[in-house]
Amino acid sequence: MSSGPRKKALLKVIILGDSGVGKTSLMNQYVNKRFSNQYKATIGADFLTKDVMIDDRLVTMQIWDTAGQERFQSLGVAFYRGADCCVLAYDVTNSTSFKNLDSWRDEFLIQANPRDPDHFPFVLLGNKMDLEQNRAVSSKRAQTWCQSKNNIPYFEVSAKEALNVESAFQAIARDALARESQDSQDFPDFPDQIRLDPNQNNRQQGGGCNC
Amino acid sequence: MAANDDETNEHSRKDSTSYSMFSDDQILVDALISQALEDKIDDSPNRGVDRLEQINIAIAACKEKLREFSLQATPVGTPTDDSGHSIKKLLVDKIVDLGLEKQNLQDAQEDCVEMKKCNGHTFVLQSARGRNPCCEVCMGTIWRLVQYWRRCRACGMRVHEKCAEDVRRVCAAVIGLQSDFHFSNKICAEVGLLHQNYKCAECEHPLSYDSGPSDEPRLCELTGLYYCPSCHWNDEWPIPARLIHNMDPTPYPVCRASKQLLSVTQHKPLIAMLDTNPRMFALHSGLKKVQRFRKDFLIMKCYFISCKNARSLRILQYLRQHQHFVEDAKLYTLDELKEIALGGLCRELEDIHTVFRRHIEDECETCRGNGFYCELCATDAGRNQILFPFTDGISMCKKCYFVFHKACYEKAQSCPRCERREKRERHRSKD
Repeated sequence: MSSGPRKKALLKVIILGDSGVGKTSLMNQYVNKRFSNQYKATIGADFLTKDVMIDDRLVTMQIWDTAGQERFQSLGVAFYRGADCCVLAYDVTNSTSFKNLDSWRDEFLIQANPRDPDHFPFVLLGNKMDLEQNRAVSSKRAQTWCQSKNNIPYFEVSAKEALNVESAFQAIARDALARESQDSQDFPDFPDQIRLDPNQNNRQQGGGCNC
Repeated sequence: MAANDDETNEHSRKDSTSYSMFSDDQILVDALISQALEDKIDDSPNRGVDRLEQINIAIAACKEKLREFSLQATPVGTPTDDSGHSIKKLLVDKIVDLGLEKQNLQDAQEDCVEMKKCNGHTFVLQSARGRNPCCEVCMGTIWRLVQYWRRCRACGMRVHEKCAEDVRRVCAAVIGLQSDFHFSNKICAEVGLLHQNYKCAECEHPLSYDSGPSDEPRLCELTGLYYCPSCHWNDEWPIPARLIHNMDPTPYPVCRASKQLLSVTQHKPLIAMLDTNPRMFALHSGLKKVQRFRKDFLIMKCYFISCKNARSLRILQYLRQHQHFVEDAKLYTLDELKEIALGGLCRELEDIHTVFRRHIEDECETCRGNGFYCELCATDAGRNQILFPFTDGISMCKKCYFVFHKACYEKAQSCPRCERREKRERHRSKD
């Protein structure tokens, strides 16, 4: 590990998008290098972690996979908070999943409540690019949408064929890292962190023992 | 292989009659089993197959078929799906039936004199040690050292070996474990001896107060009827109806049949307290607390289902004494109501509640991630407080289950997430 300005080894990435676009598959392909043809709806949210080297820096990516189906969204989305990057995923063969991107993005910004919503790093992934013959959303259309949203980076990927997945996530990590060095305080009390700050006294001032 | 051929044949037959009646499926299952048996006998013709072996073969065949059905990816909603479901159910039923038969056979083989069946009772031979109990048929003492005696495995009835065949009372387990069994929620007032024609309600022995202790009428508080001293041993048990209406855990005298019935059913979730006596929840603080815990447990279960840490910890096992708590928040067992009325249970559930809470709120990052932040809060401190559906002082949107501070929600009187969803829906339909 080389020395950075301030090391924060954890990058939190959230994958959002309609049900069936392949959020879980993308994550599994990237983290476990595995793909299954069987569809299983995700219930609630869960994360996987992966250690990656970005420009000589070792970072841990914590990738949160979410439920796309509304009926499985009855649990909260507190995990949006403190995200370093939000991955919006849609299915290039399903135009509705593309149309719904706006609502996913809005919903994320409202719930995550980042300090600078206009410049929060989003990345757009168009999954299932291997099914070219069924394509319903052109690259052009996706790119135009990205430009209208402050130039969001756009990747077309295939979780099934493992096309572009690695490079897309590399870019995601880079984006997240760039933002992280911009303002390092945006992480609200991340519980894994233990702060040893002599100025911040605990509730019991000066006292050690209660008896 | 012949067996395989047969199975594929059967399969096509099933598909051609996809709306097949229940009985057709039944025939199919039977045919499958007899085919498997024939195959086996063909394999080893010079050896006889006894019933136990037959059962083993049949179970194996059913399991194989079931596995085949489960692997088959039938698209949901097609008619074949439905018939496939019913045949699967039949196969499972068959396996269970065969398993029971196998168990009985094995038990019988272990020792033929061990078990004696009568009126639903399963009388098992007992050892000669211990106190001398009383026979429920002849009322005489069972002298253990010199007399064989039996006890019913299901209801606990004790009898002499020679008396086992004369048992008149049907086993309480047979009555109590019926699927539609429920406790009466009427507090039975005594009907009166005249109405009973001065006879014991069970054995019709004449009752009277004057003619000696063997004719003394004894009241059963569960049925409201009088019994003779042979059928009523002055056992005492809390009465379901009295618990339901008054949270009264006092044991009352009951007859033998009632005692055995209550003892068999005391741990079954049978009492829908919320339906029968909803007002009690406002009046009894213990019950109110338990009900709140149960509601929370159901919400927590949603967290545990979607959390792999909780799954590997098998955290829901904490509730294994109260398995039905995991399924709904409605039914209570007789024993639980008694415990609540006596002031227990609450502490135990509180401890489990604490363990669950600690997992979700502190220990598990995934579960914490599934918490909520109040969207309606005006202050930063409030906005940064993580909320859960079981946190005190919250309100939940009835439609989308989003969670807010109670005060915030009451002020806003509407759920912003629902509003956004509706707005988007309107927008979409306009397009």
